[in-house]
Amino acid sequence: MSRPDTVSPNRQMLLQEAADWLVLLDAGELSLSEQQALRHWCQASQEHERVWQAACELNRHFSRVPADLAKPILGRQRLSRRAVLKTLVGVGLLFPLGWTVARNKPWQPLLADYRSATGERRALTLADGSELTLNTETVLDVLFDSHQRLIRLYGGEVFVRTGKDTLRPFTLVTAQGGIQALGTEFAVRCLADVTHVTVTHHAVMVSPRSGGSPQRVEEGQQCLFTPHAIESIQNAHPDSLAWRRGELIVDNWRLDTFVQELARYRPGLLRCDADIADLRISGVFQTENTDQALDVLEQVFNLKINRFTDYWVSIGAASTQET
Amino acid sequence: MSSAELAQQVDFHGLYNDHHGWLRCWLRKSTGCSETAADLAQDTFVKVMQKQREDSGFAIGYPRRYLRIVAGSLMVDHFRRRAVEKAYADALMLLPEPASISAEEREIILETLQQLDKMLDAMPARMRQAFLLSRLDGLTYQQIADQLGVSLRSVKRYMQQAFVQCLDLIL
Repeated sequence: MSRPDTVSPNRQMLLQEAADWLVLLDAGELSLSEQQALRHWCQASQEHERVWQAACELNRHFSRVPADLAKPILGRQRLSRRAVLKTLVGVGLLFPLGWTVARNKPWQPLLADYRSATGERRALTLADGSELTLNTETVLDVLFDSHQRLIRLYGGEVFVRTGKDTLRPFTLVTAQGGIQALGTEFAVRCLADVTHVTVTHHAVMVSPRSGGSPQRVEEGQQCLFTPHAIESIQNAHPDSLAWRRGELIVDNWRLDTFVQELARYRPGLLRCDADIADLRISGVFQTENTDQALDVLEQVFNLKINRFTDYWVSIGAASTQET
Repeated sequence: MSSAELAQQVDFHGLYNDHHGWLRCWLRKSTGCSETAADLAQDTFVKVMQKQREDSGFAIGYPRRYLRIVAGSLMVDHFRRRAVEKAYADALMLLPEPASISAEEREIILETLQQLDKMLDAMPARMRQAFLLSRLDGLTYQQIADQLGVSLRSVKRYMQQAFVQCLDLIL
């Protein structure tokens, strides 16, 4: 459960680079210039050195266990953490969302087939048996014909469990590009100028609209993509789909990020003052009852909720008696 | 006093007194063992305390839900460790000469296995398969690609991501 502010892009970059070197090393002997480059890389900073030591340690770990002994143990059939937890306790794991949340202002075509209201969650079953769950403020078209099954997502967020149909491919398109399902469960969210995809079962093929090579996103992974490129594919944060249960799970989020996210589920304007924007919030909130969430902020986090009207709420620091 | 300081006042003792009994009871129901439940409840509160120490702005919305999530994660880890211990005991029994490994070596191997298992657990199934074929069976990336029926590029990507994840856990 790493905290968002400790995973600096620099650290991620170092890990990626170290991993690239390990992959290169696996391919065989390094050339002289490569050896030199690696030495340079290791000596670039203390942090580089520390990461490289860990990389070497990782390889030593494996040499420390007899392969014959380790194989049946490490290679055993396992349930996903999530499945284990579900059977045990029926709650999701706690991970911060890995992306910056931008408030989405979808262009909402008047003639769209399906839409959900602010704060609404809506389930649909399509003709081919595909199941859709629409999160708050979602607008989409369903365009099925004899050759293809196409969903056009204009805005919002949707979870898709595709029905079986081997003849007609299932594709969901957003302003940024297409996502082809390969017998799949996945979620798609439209952000300001990017699309976010999370795959929970099997895989999807993501194709940015204006070029960039299509890439497979596997079960348990998520990615962001723009019309031009696919950003790094990462492990999915299970809690990013907590909305399906009507929950917003946050772990050490900035208050302003949290407020932005909560605002999606609430009609009208919801904002927080800049001087408390970096306050940290953790907890599980009900998306269907944003008033309750505001009450919690008021009482537990000791903030002042200013309700100018129900549609204009502003969050500020509680005033102290001394001042 | 700043609002951050105000919000920080999660009274740890209050939290412990109000919810420790409930958490233990809940864990006992989930694990079916009161000793394990007591240990996990303790670990859960230690984690919360550490979080508070690391981050002065740390505050909790719904305490019981939050505790349940932290405890749930610890519980999954606990069961995973137990599964490794059991599989290890089974594997040792099958060795032709179990006596050839000293007790100390056994402990070291078990601890290393636990660490590796934790890393592997965070990986999607395919990536884990590729990673094991590479590290334990010593297959080349091309051989792994052939065996899994995927492209060499996919194997490289699996391996690269697997390395990143492992490093992330160690560091």
